[in-house]
Amino acid sequence: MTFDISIIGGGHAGIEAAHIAAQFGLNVSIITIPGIGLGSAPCNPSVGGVGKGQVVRELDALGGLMGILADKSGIQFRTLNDSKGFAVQSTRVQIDKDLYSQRAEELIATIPNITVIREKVLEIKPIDSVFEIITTVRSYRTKKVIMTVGTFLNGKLHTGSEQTIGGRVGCDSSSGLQTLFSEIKTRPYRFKTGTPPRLDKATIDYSKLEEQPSDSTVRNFHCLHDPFTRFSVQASCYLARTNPETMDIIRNNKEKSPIFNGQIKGVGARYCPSIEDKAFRYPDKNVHHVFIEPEGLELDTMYPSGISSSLPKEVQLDYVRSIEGLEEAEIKVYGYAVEYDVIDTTDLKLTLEHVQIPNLYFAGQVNGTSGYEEAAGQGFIAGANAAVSILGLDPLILSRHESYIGVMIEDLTSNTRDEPYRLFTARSENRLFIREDNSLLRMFPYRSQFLLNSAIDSYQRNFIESYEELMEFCDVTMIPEYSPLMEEFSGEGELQKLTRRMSVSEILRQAWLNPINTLETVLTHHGVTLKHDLIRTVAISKKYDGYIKRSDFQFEKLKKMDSMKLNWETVCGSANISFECRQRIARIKPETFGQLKLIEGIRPATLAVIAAKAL
Amino acid sequence: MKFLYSDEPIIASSTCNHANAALAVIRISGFKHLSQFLTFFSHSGPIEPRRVYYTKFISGSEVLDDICLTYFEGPKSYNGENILELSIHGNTLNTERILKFFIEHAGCRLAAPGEFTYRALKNKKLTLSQVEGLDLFLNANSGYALDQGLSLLSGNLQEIYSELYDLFLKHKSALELSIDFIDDVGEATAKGYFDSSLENFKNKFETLHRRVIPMEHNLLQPELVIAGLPNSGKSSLFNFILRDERAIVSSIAGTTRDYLSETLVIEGVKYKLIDTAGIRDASDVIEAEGIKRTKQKMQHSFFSILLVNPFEMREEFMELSQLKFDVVYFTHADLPGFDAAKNSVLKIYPQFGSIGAISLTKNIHHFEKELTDSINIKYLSVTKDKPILLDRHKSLISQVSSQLIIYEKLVTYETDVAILSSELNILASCLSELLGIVSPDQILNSIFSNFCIGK
Repeated sequence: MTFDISIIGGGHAGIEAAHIAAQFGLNVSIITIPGIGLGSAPCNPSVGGVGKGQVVRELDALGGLMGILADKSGIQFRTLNDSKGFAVQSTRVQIDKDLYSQRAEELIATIPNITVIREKVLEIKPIDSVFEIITTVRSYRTKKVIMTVGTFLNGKLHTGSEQTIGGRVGCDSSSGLQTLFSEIKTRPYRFKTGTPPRLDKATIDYSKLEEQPSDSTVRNFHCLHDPFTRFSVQASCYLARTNPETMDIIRNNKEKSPIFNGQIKGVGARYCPSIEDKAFRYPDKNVHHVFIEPEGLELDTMYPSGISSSLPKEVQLDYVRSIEGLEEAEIKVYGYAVEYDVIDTTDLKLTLEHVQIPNLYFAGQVNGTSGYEEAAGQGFIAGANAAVSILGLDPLILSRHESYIGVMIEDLTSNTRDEPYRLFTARSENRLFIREDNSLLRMFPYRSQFLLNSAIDSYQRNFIESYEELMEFCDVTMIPEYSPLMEEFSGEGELQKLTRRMSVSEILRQAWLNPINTLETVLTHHGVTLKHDLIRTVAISKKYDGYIKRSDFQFEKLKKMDSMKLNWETVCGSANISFECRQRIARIKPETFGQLKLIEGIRPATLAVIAAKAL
Repeated sequence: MKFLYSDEPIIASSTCNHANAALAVIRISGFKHLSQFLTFFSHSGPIEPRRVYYTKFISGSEVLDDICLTYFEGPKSYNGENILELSIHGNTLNTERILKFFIEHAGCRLAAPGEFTYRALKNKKLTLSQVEGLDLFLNANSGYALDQGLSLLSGNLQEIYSELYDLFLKHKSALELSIDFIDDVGEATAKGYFDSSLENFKNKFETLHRRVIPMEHNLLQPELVIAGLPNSGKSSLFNFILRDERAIVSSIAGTTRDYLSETLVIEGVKYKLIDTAGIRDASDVIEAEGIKRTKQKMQHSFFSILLVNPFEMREEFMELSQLKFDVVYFTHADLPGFDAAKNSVLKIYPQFGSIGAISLTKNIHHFEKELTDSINIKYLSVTKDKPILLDRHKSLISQVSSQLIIYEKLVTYETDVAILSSELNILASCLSELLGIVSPDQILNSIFSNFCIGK
């Protein structure tokens, strides 16, 4: 059997890659380890979150899959950072894990040019400008390979002193990359991630916990779904807290922790710490949040977010039961840590194609990222680029100034990571502009470059047209002084009195006004009814206008410096730069000062020197 | 000026080139091997770094000079390159001949101003602040400037900037914590970090900001300005202080067209003493220009002296009397009717209440002591808080200060943390310029254009 594109792995990166590649009419296959459903969620049962909600909406605007699946399986919706300003607000949806995977299977099954092959891959070798993929059953030929193998490369699980081979609990693992591809170098170290014990739903005393119900005002991800109609019954999450007893139990069992006794060599993420990390890194802090999240409506397990652990089973049970509300809790599945091989992403281009091995792409956790959303974002980029490359179209490269996906891809390819990479909003320099509400505006130019003509394409064209009209309306429509509207918009304070004629755009910038409600009032006053999504995007865009201009000005100053070309070979040839810096520079081969700046471990002094030299 | 210099060896005389002296020092920097120069010296054995060798400087069979040479091997040298330092006899003709010899026979080129130091910066031997400090040190006009130059050179100020930057980063992370990790830390803890980190940063910054004093006190070259109406005796005073007939003195009002300046040393501080043209409503174009410049000079002066001739008051005095002076003196005290004339002036301008009266023929030494004392007292009080002297630093610190004010105001009423963070980034870029991380083109140019050849 031959394919245009074969994707190894059917997780969030894999299905996203397959889904977009198939939209171009190519012949696509997903080859995945038997026994695991497509789009399964082995860790937390949620999609979105701070910085990640933006990624899901960017994906949705590009024609991705994740938003559709999350909506269809969503059982609790929340807006994080609700009170902190629109730019940092993010949607998070608790998903029913079973439902999510089921919907993924169904959706992929309706696409005729995707073949799902459930076999374990043994070897991949280049033969006459194509690849031969040898599985336990037979062999396939394909023009392009996308590796979305998650934590399965040499995966090893730890619970206390118990160690098993596998990419996740109850699963097989795949061989190391060296066996699959003799030419590819993996890093000399491995990453580690962990997951908490799963609790029996029926054994928790919810009356002692703080309930967090689903918020019906949160908008669905997919642009063609009605924003507020849910596809499923909604459920609640619950907030519990650790206490001194919990932390003492953990601290007293330090020697039994694989992370601290040397059994685990892999590097974990600082921002996604296990409960052991928290106990030893913050010896003075005993109260940590634990969010108890449903894994599904039918599933009998709850996911306690914030206490991931690889301690022995009896210790896990001990500390869980020390938490108020969980005194009687039973553990269904024990927590574990998984160690796995990761590749060096500085060997990848911005299209996620490998520099040394053309037509081979990498996406997802194998690239050292954590999170379903990060994986999906990369899967989309790899899948789209594999497809457009076959068709001879322009590559899809998202700028870091326009999207979180762009931020992530540039961060990954420009920098060797020494811990798992997770997106958060602070990674972006342009946070006021990269928002959830305008993801469609930001992604439309990229989506339209695919020249596809599906339902979302015509939806987007209409949206953009109306957006531009409404933006202009705000600029040209004046609210007269002393009018009832003006009085309504004036605030309580002395400085909040609006005493002169102003355009709607100006009014929307006033700090004390909610721009969305304000624009709605103006439109009602003019007898205009428009879609809420549209009003929202325009109102927020107007609100941030001035601040974005200020920061753009600053950014332009920096950009002048950043876009300065430099010759990395000359820089490396300079005896005055430390050996370590030279090594990093030689590995990453920066072409501009901006890229050089992003390299980890480059000291400010070195930058000043190079800046001076390049003048 | 662009620093796109080629890497070839450079040569310059590091000592004064304009007058004959006993010795001159020539430095050559950036050559590959010392061996390329050895045929020019009579010394035959090996040359060890950092040892002085007495030798003859020869061209073919001809001896050009008796010299001492010292070899500094890179990277352990001033600017990281191989440096050869020659102490030669300091006749300017000799210096020129030897420079020319190296340029013609040894592939050297004449260094551009500051190029030795530029290479030190390029080779990470000095930071930007240190280079600025060196500049200050070499051109200092006072003991205080000398100290600050040295302090910059040794990296002290840079250290303060680094500490400030660290505190800034703590605050920045506290803000980011409240956006990206609020679920993990909780609202109250995040708010606590935010407030305390801002307080720490502000305190540290205020200490630094207090050291930036207003621009009109240019302490790098403090100016003493003598102002007054025409014929009030400005040039006479100027000449008296300098014991020199520098200014053209005549009794015709308006003789001093522009301003004259000379260097004056008081208690180890070099001042620029300026005699301005008289302020009057002149139809003469040059005179008008001179008056304009007088007013400008007044604005930037460190210390200003107003002279009043009570016998020749004009309407224009109104304009003068509104400027701020450190001291006011009535002149022509030796003329008859002085007291009456003085009193009638004081009736109109009571703000000049207690002022001195001088005659350039009587009491003058007592007056001079009084004047130099008050100048010195002002200098000591201004330098007491260790003011920052460099304009680039002063203006960046002021930028940080005004951005900090905007930011603090926002913190009080803006709940949108994304906006706060965006404004904080603007602050960050001022701070990183202070540290020398982002170095806009003009910084280097302005620094190195001050340097003389040979540094």
